[in-house]
Amino acid sequence: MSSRNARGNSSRLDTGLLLACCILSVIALLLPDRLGEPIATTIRRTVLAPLLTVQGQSQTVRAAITARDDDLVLRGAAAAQAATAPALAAENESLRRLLGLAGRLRDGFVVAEAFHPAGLTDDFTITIGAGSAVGVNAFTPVVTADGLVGMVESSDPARSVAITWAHPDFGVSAMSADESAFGIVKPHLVSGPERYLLELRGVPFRASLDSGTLIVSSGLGATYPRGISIGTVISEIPTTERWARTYLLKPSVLPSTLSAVVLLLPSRVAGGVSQVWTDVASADSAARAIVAASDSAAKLAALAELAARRAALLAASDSARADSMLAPLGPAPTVRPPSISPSISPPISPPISPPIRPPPDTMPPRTVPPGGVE
Amino acid sequence: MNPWNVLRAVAVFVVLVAAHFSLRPLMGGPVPIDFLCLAVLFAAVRVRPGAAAVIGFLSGIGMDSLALQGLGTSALAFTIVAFGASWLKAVFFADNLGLTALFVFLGKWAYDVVYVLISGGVPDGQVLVQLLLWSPLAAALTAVVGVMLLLLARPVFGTRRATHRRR
Repeated sequence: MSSRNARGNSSRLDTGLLLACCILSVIALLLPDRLGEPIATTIRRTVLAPLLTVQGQSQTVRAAITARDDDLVLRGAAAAQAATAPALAAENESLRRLLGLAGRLRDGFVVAEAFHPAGLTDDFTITIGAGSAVGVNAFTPVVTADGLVGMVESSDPARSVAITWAHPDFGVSAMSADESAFGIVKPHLVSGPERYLLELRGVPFRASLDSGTLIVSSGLGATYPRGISIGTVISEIPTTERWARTYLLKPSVLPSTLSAVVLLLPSRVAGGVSQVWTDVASADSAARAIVAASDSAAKLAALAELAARRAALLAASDSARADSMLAPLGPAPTVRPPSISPSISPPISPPISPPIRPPPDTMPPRTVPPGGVE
Repeated sequence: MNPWNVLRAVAVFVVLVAAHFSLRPLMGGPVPIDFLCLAVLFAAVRVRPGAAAVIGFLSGIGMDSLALQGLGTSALAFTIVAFGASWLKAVFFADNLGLTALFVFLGKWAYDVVYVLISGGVPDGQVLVQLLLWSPLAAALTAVVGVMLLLLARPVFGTRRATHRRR
């Protein structure tokens, strides 16, 4: 009986405590803020103070961990951006130069994006995002601000496929920037890294070219207008030919780095682009000539050579105009006066030199099979 | 009540409350582990329902003091949950792991339900999502942690037999 009473008392006590706690909770809920806030503040500053200190330290640790994670993410993002920055800078520089080229060309061209490679096994062609809808057809020259890339081989309304100078079928009639030597530029068909160089073949034996000489298109053949930069001379290649020289060229353009190109439409090809690339080339040539002529004897020889070249080119120009067979090939080579005007003018007696006739193109214009030599 | 049992219950309660203020801020995440709820439930099952109600009330009023509004909300929720836990645990059984997990799950969920419904701090459109998605997830996570704690600290908790029925 007493046990039952004890259980009943305990049960009543439990119930009483429950009701008391519930009533206190409800009272706390109903208290206005001005009365409840002092109670909460007292609890926070007394009972909970050490726990809140621990909580603050834990939150600091958590913030440090999160900040470190964020820092790592930022570092990763910065590293990724740094990795792509040179490529972006190079592309910007390329586009700026392309804009400069467009300004010099003024009209008769199309700017398009270049995609490469066209095939998994083909390193020598590029796909261009412009086609016959904008006037791009086969044999349209492809250039950049640095120089010649190649030519369009086939075109669809919206896209074209072009061969680059490294393609085995590529060829262009070329000359040195100072017009002292003519020849045909072909890819250097060897194995290894030198595969991505060019050869200037068929240069007359008497025309010796120094390393660094700029080679440009000669304009003979009508596919490529005169004056597009092709490359610079690296060295002479020994061959079995005794009447002509072959030079190894470093190309002006690396197709693997292309992102945008300029396609020269027929109107621009007919109008010529001589002033676009060769202004700088002439200046370079003049500077090299002046440097080479640092001693008086060499200077005299250089001036004599210039005078002879001028006379030879005049004769060649007259001959070209007179030859009706050359008329369809486009305008005759423009003869420009030498860019060197010596401050000391000794009497020049030009040596007798046979006129230098540029080698004719190996292909007639617009009749070249796809990928054929100009 | 055996003083050793009281000491153990107090020790477990203090450790879990300390974990609530030290470990929980480190974990983060959308579904927090409620160590305070575990502390209240584990303490409640070792004392009489009246004492459990007092423990729940004091724990809740402490939590309420950290909130800007709603003083008494957690106090009422913990009072009900702790009293119910103590009463139910005494009715049914002892330290079965599965039932302990279910017990903690229901206790935490009940606390969230009472808290959300009383406080009204959750927007109307989010009440069901809170009660049927986030609260069960938090309750489940709390239950898992409770079972792990029970396994790790079985010597401290002691073993209760089903024969210790009070009613």
